Parts: sequence; structure tokens; C-alpha cells
Amino acid sequence: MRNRFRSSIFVAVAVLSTAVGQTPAYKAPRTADGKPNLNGIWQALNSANWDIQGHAAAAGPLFQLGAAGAEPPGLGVVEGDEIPYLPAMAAKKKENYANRMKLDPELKCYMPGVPRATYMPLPFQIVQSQQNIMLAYEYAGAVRVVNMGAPTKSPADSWMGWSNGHWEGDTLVIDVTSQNEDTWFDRSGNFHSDSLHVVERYTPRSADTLNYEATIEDSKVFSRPWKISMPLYRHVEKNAQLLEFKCVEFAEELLYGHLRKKN
Amino acid sequence: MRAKLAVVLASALFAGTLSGQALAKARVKTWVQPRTPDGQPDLQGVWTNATLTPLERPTELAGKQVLTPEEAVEFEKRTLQQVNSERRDGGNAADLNRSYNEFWRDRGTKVVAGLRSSLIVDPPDGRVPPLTPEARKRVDRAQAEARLHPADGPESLGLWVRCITRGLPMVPGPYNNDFQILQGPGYVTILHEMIHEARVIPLDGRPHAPKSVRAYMGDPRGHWEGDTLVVDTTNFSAKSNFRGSSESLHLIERFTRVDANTINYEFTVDDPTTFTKPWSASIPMTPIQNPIFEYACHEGNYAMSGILGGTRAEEAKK
Amino acid sequence: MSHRFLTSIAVGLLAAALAAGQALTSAAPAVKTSTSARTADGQPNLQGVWSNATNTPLERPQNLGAKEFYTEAEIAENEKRASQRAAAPDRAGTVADVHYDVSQFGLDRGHATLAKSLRTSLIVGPEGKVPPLLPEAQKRVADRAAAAKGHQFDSYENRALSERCILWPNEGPPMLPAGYNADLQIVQGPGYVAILQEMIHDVRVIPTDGRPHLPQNVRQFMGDSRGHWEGNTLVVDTTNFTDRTAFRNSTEKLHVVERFTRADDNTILYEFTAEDPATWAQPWSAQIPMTKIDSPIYEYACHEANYGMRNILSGARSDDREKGSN
Repeated sequence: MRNRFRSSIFVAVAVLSTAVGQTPAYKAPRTADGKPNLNGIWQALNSANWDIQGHAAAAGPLFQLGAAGAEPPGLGVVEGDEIPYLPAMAAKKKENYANRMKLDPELKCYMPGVPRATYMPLPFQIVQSQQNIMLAYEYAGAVRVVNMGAPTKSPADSWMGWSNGHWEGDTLVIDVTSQNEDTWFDRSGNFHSDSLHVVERYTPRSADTLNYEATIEDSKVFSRPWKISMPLYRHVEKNAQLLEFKCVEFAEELLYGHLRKKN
Repeated sequence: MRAKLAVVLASALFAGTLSGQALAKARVKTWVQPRTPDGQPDLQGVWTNATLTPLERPTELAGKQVLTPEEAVEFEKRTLQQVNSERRDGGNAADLNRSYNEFWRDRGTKVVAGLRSSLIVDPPDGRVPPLTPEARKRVDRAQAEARLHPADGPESLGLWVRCITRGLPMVPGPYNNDFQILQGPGYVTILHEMIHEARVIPLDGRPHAPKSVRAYMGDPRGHWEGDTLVVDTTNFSAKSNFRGSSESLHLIERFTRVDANTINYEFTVDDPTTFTKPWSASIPMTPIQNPIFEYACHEGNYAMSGILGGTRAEEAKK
Repeated sequence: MSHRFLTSIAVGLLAAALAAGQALTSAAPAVKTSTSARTADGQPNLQGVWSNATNTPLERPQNLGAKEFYTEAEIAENEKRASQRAAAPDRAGTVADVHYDVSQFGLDRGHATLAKSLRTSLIVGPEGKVPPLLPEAQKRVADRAAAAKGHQFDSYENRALSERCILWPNEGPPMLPAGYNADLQIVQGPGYVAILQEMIHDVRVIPTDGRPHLPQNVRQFMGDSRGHWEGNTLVVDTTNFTDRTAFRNSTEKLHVVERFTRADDNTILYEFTAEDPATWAQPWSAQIPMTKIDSPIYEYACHEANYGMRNILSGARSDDREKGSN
């Protein structure tokens, strides 16, 4: 009787799953409260921070750094490799690129916003609790606390935006609003306005990798929503930890050097 | 009666089997394409395509597609004499301009088997087709610029002199005409000794990289047609230049191992913005005993500072 | 026979449906404040947004001698006087007036939620004071002051870490109450306790898996923290400070041990012991209660809006030009 019951359950669940149309994807282990476990230290392995579109390698802006300062190549992380700028906004992107050594907020150690924080060349850590999921970024100590309860409204614009999250199956979906207009998507001048709305999806694809997707919407700058996607890799070395990257010090000469007392 | 028929039939069969065996024995003597563990035709090894056969048919050989054995020997002797940088028959200025000595050279000692008078097989005249008008303008402008500014800075000099790339296709030159082919599941890699450039060619049918991604050696994609490896390369950088080619260059290469010691390497150059029609060449590759050596071009590029420094010194004199 | 089979299918479907249903409902609004004693993976629950604002001074007022605790009545009187002080306007035209407007929301200490404490000082013990500096420390402080004399406004390098938006002194560890934005959020995941301090959006992600500290030559402004549980108390041990952290003039040898105990739903008792053999003859400890607040952590974008630095330096350069010394 037991066996028949068990196999019936199996059949029933299988029927249910097939009915829902699920393909057998990787199923992450669960946290103690039954949610997909995304805890860990993660990092993107690409050159998206240089340029989210496909690009060949290129000389860097400072010849004194030679090959060390050169831009690495990349296949791009934008689906379709096209960013649908409105015509006037496409011109602004070109202007940004031409003046990027003056305008890129990363040079000044300003907080990178979302999604750029995800693919900075430094790791970030997910600390997953029930009501909140914290994403702590090594770059500039930037941080987000994602509310996993009923969505709340942002009290004010900020650099890292306001994040509300929920689960869709094994995917963590984070809705990010209220970012100010001062961040860029990369070092190449891809930008947005303060109407930016980002929806991120973090899906475990294996024990040590996540699929990361972000849909970007900003009707003041783009003619339609567009998407970026990339894998995120777990730091599996023993005792991996985020270290301090308090970069204000590294940006001060750039920002205030001209105000230094002479002699 | 039946028994007799049976014996006759049996004998006939037996005889037939015997001759089948004989045929099989004969077949075993011919070359069989070796295969890699995952079933690809095995092209692996270290190969050279050095040859005295020129890319283009010399004008004096117009109309002559194939040399006679005597003509070939004569051609080889004459060529080796002409290119010999160790001859001392012109005085100091001539010696200086010849540069290097034959120790560095590895151009081969023979014309190709088959004695074709050019590596180019199409068009039939064995010569590169004419440039398009826009390419002619482009090339003329570049040459004029080079005459006016032969050595203003590193950008004035060619990609080989700058040690950036030896480029494609694999046309033999005066030295280091060596290539190592290595195959793994789903990939063929070709390591060009000069300038230690490795092409890692996927065979899984994936599309080319996005148009925004350009490269000096382009973006290769391979597949097998029977026992021939076909490599399709696009996405060339605008700074690449094969006899005037542009970033529109579409290069198709074919590698067929025809016996233990020969890979037939054929390439087709298709660049409608540069050449008035596509053209093809065929160059045999034969094995060499040496490994691939490290060609540390840039690290030993004294020539660059010599050229630029020398030019600056001459300008200072004026 | 078929009857039983159908029933089994039905039960199976129901079970599956229930499971799916559970998954759906857990995405529905959760409770606002967690009152559970443990996290899902069994850690004592310290989670929430907390304030360590307090009217209790770090060191005991001189006149109180060895008196470690006030009475309830004395406390009430103190609180009344404190809010009167906060509401009083500074005299117009004075140096104190050229500063923040303390009646501005967020800077008004009368609005901050203060934890209840009868202590006369945060520092515990009969002295209630930071131990005196050792002679070598006094020399260090004097040398530094001498080197800085006349150069306080030369460059951003001569300004305090807080003015540069690199590190706020209250951040520590140890974590001390700040004049404003004295808020922090604790988020716990398996094997980690993360403490986010609002000022300056610094997170300490503290592993509790027993791993060793960082190598000696890796120093950090906020040191390197390792945690473990002793019963219901989180004990955090921090070393590897830089010599520029200089918590109350200490050196890179500073060693801080903090203890976090959830006293009740709305209170965490936070205690710390600081020691530095190159600075103080003995360790010293303090107790600071933290109160739960009903507020998110806001983004304190200190550096991004640091007009202060530009103004300080350009003001100084303007002074220099007037004096003819630029």
C-alpha cells in the first residue's frame, strides 16, 4: 500500500510538473527556511565594466600604463548587442565617451548603482535572511539591502536605488527603482536618467554559478526596454572574503589635488 | 545434378572470395586518413608551407600554368641565387640593404610538387585580380602617406615590423613558415610560429562574434566537409591589411590531409570592397622535425627603435 | 483497485498543490518585525534596524567620581535638560551658529530614539574613563600634533578621515553612538552576521565558521572581524587595523572584542573591550544598549556629496591668497 501511495505521489507530481511545462533545470539546495540558497561571494568574469557592448581590445586612456591600462575585449553582455538609445540620447552617449576621463563616476569612487555594481571587477557577497537579502559589494563598500517582504516605497533617490525582491521559482527577482541619474552602466559612457527602472533576476545554474539578467527600462533615454545577461561565478577558494576597497583615498588627488597648497 | 551445381557454385564463390582477399590486401597498402579519438580527421603535427613557388605567376611565365621538370630545376637555381643575401657582389651599400644572412632564412629549396608556376590557382592567370577603384584610392593614399611619412612614429610602419601580427591567410615568407595543428574535442587550433599566434577554431556551429567585435586575425569558425576542414573567417579589424584588404575581408580556408606527409592548404579571398573578384590559392604543407620555437618578435624588436631613432637622427641633420 | 489508485493520485496532487501553495504564500507580506528568538538556520536572532543613540556620555562626568548608576529620577531630569538644550537656538552670529541648524529634521537629538540606561557613562567600572595614554602614546600624539601644526588645511591629506568620508570615528569597531545617523542594520545568513552601519554605508560581513584572521600584512581601516557564538551571545574579535584608524589614538595593535546579546524584542545589549599595549596600560570596556527602530537604513552618500572638502580647501587657499602666502 505504501509503495503504491509513494509511486502515485511521484506520478502526480511528475504530471503536475509536466503540466506546468518545467524543463528539468538545476535546482539549488535550500536554506533552512526553504528558499534557494544564494549565499556566497560572487563575481562576474567579463569586461562589461569597460563596455557592455561587444568590443575589440583597445589602448587605454593613459599611455603611461601601456598594456596594463588597456581595455580588454569582450563579446558584450547586451542581448542583441544593441542599446536602443533615442536619437538625441545616442549623441549624448558619444559625448560621454569622448569625455569619459572627466565624467565617469567610477574614477571618482562614486557608488556604481545597479546593474553596474554587479559586474565591477571586484566580488560581492550575498547574505540571505528571510525578511532581507543583503548584497555587499567590495567596490567602495557599496551595499544594498533587498526587502523580501511586501514591497515598500522608496523614501528618496539614491545612488544604489531602492530594492524590493521576491522569489519566482528558483529565481530571485529584484525590482530596483529610485536611482539617481549620476551613475553610468560602464566606462564607455552608457548612461540613463533618474527614471531608470531595473528588474534583476538571479537564477542558480549550477552549484557554483548563477545566471544574472537585468532588464533596463528608461523612457527618457531608450526607445524600449533592453536586457543584459551574464553568468556570475562563486569564489570557491578557502576562506574567501570581501576585503576593504575604500577607494575614496585613491580618488582624492583627482578630486582635490588642484586645491592643494603650493610648495 | 544438384550436387554438381553446388560444387560449381561453391568453387565460383571460393574463387570470388579469393580475389576479394587479394583486392583487400592491395587496399591495405594505400594511405588511410588517421582520426583523433573523437573522430575528426587527424591533421595534427608541425607543418611548413615554405616553397620557392611565388604567390603570383611571374609575368615572364604568363600562360604557363605548369613548369616542366627542367624548367623547375632552373627556376629553383635562379631563385635561390637571386635571394641569397650572402652573395657579395654589390659593394657595401648592397650588403647593407640585403640585411640578415641566410642563417635566418627558411624559404624552402623547391617549388611545389606538381610544379605549378604560381600558388594562385584562380583566376587562371595566376595573378591577384585588380583592385576596385575605391581600394585603389585607399591603397594609393596609404602609399603616398608612407612616402611622405615613412617613420613618423610606430603607426607609420607595417604590422609585421611593429610585431603586432603576421595576419592571414598563411602565405609563405622568407622564414618561420611553420604551423602546429592541435585538435581537441570540438576544436582545431593552429599555432602560427610567427608571431606565436594561436587560432582556436570552434567546430560546434556557433555564429560569428557580433559585428562590433573586430580582430587582426578575424573570428574563425570551422566545420568538416567530409575529410576537409573548412575555416570561415570574418570580423577582420579595419587595421588588418592583406594586399590591400579591408575589414570586409571574408576568408575561407580548406585543409585536406591527402597523405602522411601532405596537407593541401587552400584559401579563397573574398573582399568585394577591395578585389574585383574573389581569388584562391593552393599551398601544400609538409611535416618538419623541429618543434615550434618561440618567436618573441616584440620583446626583441630593436628594429623599431633603430628605425625611429635613425630617422630622427637624419631629420636632425637636415 | 482503480478506486484506490484514483485516491492515491488525488492525494498526490493535493500534496503537490499544498507544496506549491506554500511556496506562493511565502511571497506574501511577511511580519514587519521578527520576534523569533532564532533565525531559520538556528542562530540567535539579532536581525533588524537598531539605533545606539544615547544621552549617556562615553566617559563619566568629573563630578560623579565613582558613581556608576543614576536613579530613575536623576535620569528623567537629565533627559529633560538634554532636550531643552537641543531645542535652544545657538546665539546668532557666533561660530557655533555657522554650522548645522540643529532643529533640522535628523539632526535634532530630541527626535532620536534613545535606549534606556541608568549608567553614568558608557564605560563600565569605577573609573568610568578611558585609561590614561601610555608615555609612548602621549609622545605619538604630541609628535602628530606638532607635524600637523600650521598644515591643517594644506591638503585633503591633512583632514580627518571623517571629513574625507573615508571612515567615521563611531564606526570602529568598536561602534560608538554618533551625533546623527547612529543607525545600523543586522542581517544574518548561514555562517555570517552582517552589520551595515548607516554612516558611512559600511558593511562588516562577519564569518562565524572559525576561520583564522587575515594575514598579518593585510590591514584594513575597520580591521578584520571574526565571530562565534557563546550561548546566545555573538562574540566578535577584531584585529588587523591600520595605523591610520587610530581609534582614540590607538595603533595598529588595537584589538577589539564585541559582544551582542538580544536582551528583549527591542533591545540588544552591546558591549566591547578595547586593548592596545602601545596605547593603554590596561583594556577598557563599555556597554551601549541598542534600540530597535522602525525605519529603514538610508543611503549616507557621504563622499558623493562632499562639498565640505572642496569648500574647506578652497576657503583655505583663499585665506592663503589674502595673507599672500600661496
